[in-house]
Amino acid sequence: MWLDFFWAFVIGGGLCALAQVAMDKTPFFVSSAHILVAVVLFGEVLGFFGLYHHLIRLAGMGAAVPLCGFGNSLIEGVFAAMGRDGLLGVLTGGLSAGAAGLDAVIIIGFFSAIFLKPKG
Amino acid sequence: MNDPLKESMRASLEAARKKEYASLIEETKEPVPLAKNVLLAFVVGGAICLLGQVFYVLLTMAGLADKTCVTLSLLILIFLGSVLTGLGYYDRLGKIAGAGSIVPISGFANSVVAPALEWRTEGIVAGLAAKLFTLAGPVIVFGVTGSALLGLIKYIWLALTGGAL
Repeated sequence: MWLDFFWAFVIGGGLCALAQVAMDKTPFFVSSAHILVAVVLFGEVLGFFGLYHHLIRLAGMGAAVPLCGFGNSLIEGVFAAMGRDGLLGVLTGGLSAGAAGLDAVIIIGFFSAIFLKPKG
Repeated sequence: MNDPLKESMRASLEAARKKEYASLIEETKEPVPLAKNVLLAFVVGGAICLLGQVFYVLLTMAGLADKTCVTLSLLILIFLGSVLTGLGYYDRLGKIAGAGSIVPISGFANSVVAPALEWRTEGIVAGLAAKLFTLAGPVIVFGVTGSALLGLIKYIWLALTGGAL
């Protein structure tokens, strides 16, 4: 279990560090939207080649928490739905796999923005 | 090649671009060394993932299914990211940690709440709810489009090679 904590920290931190290098080394201004999009696409490509689940098996939440994990669950959802529905799965799989996270972000985000006030 | 008109146009375009760039990075005037940035991103990003792992282990101890534990841990991080953004703490963390606070899913929650908060004064529908997707929109657009295209590529590949889905 303690080793799991170690790998979650190292892989999760490593993915963030990688994104920071990409952010700082890109010659033009990189907004957080750019970096989030790049990270999601990165996760999708790794998921496409079937590599990302190895990372999840090693690092657990260290691979699931960074947004590449969201990208991976989109692509895994698409592949799983293609197994069920054929070509239509291309359209049905992605968002249904990411639904829990996405819905939570929208709903919790909505109420947070309504009821909370930033301090300072 | 050295058309003076073209040259001056290029120069003024360059100047305009530099001005735009300068206004965009006004918050980060002080150049911080790469190594420090990367280390901070590593430590903060790693710590958020470690926190997620702690939630995950606690939930598995409660006897829940593996997948449920992953989803619930992510939900807790989303909740924390949203609330800390609403209280104004997450953006302060972001100034120190950079990608370390952007890349974890709590950073995605932050990118949803921050513009919504900022535009709340324009009304709940036209301000808050509309701006909820200022940063999350691109992520969803590219995420969905990318996964659909990659799915299509796999479909065509399997059709050509005669593999099964």
